[in-house]
Amino acid sequence: MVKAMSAQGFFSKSYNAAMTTAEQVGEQEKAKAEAMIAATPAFGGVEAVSVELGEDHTGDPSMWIIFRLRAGFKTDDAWFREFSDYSTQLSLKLLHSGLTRFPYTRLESAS
Amino acid sequence: MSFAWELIQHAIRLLGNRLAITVRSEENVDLRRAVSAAYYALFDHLSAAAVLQIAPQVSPRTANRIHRWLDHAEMKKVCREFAAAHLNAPLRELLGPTASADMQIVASNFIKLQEARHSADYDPGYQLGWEEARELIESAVFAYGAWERITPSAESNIFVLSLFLWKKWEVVRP
Repeated sequence: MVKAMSAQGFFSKSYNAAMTTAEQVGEQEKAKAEAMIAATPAFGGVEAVSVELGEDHTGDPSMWIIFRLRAGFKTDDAWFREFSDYSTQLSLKLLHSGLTRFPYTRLESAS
Repeated sequence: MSFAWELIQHAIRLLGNRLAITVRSEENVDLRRAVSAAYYALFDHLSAAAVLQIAPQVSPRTANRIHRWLDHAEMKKVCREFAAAHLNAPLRELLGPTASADMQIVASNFIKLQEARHSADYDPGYQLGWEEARELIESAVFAYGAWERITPSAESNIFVLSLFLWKKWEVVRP
């Protein structure tokens, strides 16, 4: 009984340690992405950019870069063309920096 | 035969006018369908190009069968390889150290649109605004244009072959 409990404790501890490592890597990648975004010129009309961690629909650890539009900002076709280019290049820049998580970009409307 | 451009136009029609859209749920369904159509526009464009490159002489019926061999999850894996900063084996031996900038645009936007399409079709909690839907349609058009710039080329040939052969190549990779 004592041995069984020890084994259970050992595996539980190992599992928790592995989870902590994965979470730590995620947080490190998030911090790295935030620093790179802060060093990148802001895009017109974007009020704030935030980074969230999660899994995509295939279960791969992923990262979401969320651009929040400024309230009242008027977008047009040219703006969307330029933003699409900007967000794609930023996503590739983050990916090429060595992130293991794919950086998905999202555009959030102002509330 | 590809319906890619018709699907983009369909997505734009569903998107409607920003000024006419409030956040009512029935309009959110239109936005979701617009995002789904944008993904399928790019998927259809790439898969039609793939069939045309590997089997240009087959009948439309056979082309449709080949079209269905493509698997969405496998396409995501292949795109992840092409979007990377450095290509891994076997792509590195076939294409060199890195994919072209346009190939990376195609690959990364395909991954992005596939994820958005999955959320739009299956996640009831997905908060999708008009601007995001509009931007996702633009991403499909952007990738469409990038693909046109690299076709025909050895790189587009290898990309197409990867879409069909990736499972086999994964097995033989060192």
